[in-house]
Amino acid sequence: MTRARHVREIDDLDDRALLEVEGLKTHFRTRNGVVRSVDGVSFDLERGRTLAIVGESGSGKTVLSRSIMGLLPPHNVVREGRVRFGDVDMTSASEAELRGLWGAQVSMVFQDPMTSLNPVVRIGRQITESLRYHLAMSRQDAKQTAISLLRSVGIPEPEHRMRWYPHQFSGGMCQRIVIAAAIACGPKLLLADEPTTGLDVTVSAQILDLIHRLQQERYMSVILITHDLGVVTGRSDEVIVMYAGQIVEQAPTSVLFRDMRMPYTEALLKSAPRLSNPSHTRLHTIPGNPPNPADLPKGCRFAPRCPYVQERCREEEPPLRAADVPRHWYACWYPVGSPEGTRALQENQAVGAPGAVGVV
Amino acid sequence: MAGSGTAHLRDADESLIRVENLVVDFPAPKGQKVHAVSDVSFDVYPGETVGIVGESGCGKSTTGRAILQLPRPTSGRVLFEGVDLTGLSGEEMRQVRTKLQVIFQDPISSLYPRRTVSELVLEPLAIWDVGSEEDRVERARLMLSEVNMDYDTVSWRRPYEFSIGQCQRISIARALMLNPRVLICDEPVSALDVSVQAQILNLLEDMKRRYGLTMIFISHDLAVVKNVSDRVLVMFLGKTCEVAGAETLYASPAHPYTRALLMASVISSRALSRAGTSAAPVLDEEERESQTEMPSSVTPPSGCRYRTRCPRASEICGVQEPSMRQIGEGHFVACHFPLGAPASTEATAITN
Repeated sequence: MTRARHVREIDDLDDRALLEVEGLKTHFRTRNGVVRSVDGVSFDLERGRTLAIVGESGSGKTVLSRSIMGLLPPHNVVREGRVRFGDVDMTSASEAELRGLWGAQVSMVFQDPMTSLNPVVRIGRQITESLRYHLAMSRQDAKQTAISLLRSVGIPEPEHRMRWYPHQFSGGMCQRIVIAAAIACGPKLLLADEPTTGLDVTVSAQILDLIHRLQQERYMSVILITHDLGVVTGRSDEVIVMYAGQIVEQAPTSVLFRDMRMPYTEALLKSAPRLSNPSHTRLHTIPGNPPNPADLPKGCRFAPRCPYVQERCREEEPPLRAADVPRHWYACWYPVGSPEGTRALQENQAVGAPGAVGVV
Repeated sequence: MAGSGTAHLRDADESLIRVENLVVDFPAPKGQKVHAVSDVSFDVYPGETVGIVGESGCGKSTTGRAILQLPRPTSGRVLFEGVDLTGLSGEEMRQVRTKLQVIFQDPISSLYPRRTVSELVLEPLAIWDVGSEEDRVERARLMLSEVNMDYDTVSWRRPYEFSIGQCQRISIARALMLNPRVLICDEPVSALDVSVQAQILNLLEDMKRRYGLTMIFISHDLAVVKNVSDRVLVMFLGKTCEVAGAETLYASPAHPYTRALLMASVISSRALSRAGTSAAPVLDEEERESQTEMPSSVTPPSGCRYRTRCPRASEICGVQEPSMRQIGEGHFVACHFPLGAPASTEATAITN
């Protein structure tokens, strides 16, 4: 292999985390006021770990991933805070510097595989392109590498399929190809934004397992963005729950499911239908709608919909604070399972507050 | 599996909808045909919810639409209240459609964007010239309040002013304006967030109870289907695999495909139970291998259409298509080698 021309090598040999996001804010200036899509998000991610970011539509998870990548429109965006990736400050990096990172050190898998591939270019070329550009591989080497990549993501007869166009593949197969292209240059960080939404259950399980396997084999860090809490278990080390542009809870995956503190996390878990429930089980719902990001409520942003809500929640915004378990943080004045939380819930149930009834 | 046959049909006199040997083909290039639905039969009793599950391309939506004669099926019969809909003229069908309403996956594109909410929900009444202007508004007010919307606040707004969940509520209100007997729900919650999904599913259950609706609920999400259905039909590539009561199907799936589907979603479901551990259930190597691509519906595999993906397939599966047969109370499967039940007579004959 010739020497790489277009890779910005990053130094991550020190003991710092691979990715560090600090006080990240992304606000859009619109006619309806300032939309605070990401509002003060901080976290870090170590090499070889998987972080899941979970939230409903409009919670800011996609804007967050794009802010990390530096893929935001140049106008009407206010960006604050810092994103450090290896030894590069992504927030102040020039576009040329970012281009040396995109695809090579950090790459992204988007929701819709059909639109993230170029429909008029053979898939082989779409994979070899980044190998040739970033790693300056010869045509032959790039071709061989692409074939082995396609094989590793489970495309049968890769030699032959290299000459196919995206429309000749199904959605699941296209997503495999997108993943092959994303990992081609051996990135250190893979951002997967709803990689399986729109795919069938069987296919979606395969794609998530594939990402997990590649992550283990290649010691990549993965950020898995999803609206489905179900997909994160067994496939992530840590989970961040986002609501209205902020982190409301962060915990190691098993801790989150066993010991959630934030009423929003609890409500999300409870509202999903489960196979273990009998038919016609009444589902738990979260009353109301997520707040308008251009007109956020004072105090806790979940307060208007929260079954535990108290006067303080409507006045004072709860900070993210540490729970008893290491690496578990939550933002709530009356957390689930605590004496004050239980009392708050009981008081609300006693007066029949919407949402509180039916919570066990 | 992926078989034919009508062994699972129940009493014809009691069924509200009875679909017999439904076939829907679409033309494909080079004189070929897409076999979207091939010989599917099922029935729905009044007040019952029948769920249809399967992956994309299995023909579940086509089946739902074929009941409404959108388009007319290639062959087979669709009986509604004892009348064969396939034989009706356009005008007769138009009359029947007032009793058969449908809700689609994407509520935003199923509402005409330039009309106001009141125009949208009042249109069915205007078309059928039901009642006076005041009666109609009264009915709209009632139906919108049933879906938790206030007529006076929303009537003059247009669909783009609402969230996707609210649009789905408007679609439901509109579908119920003419007091239909049957509601066909085609992936009604697939585009919604989990919290909104729960609201819509609860709402559909309420409406069903309050207005005595019969529902056909089409979805790819097994947990959602289980939540709303009394009986579930599993489809694969235009064929029926398994029919059973919701509890039975999920407790003891007999078809290898049903099991594969369940395994794929058990992962997410287990996560959601509070005691969930981080261990995903393990499919053995063979089963994982088998979860490959959907075969072509233009040139489907011979015999059982699932055999190319099936870990249990043997020679007979390529030769003879399994037909539906009973393996338990209300539990029918089309498979030569079902799980937890004896092999089919054809398969046993060969082994002997």
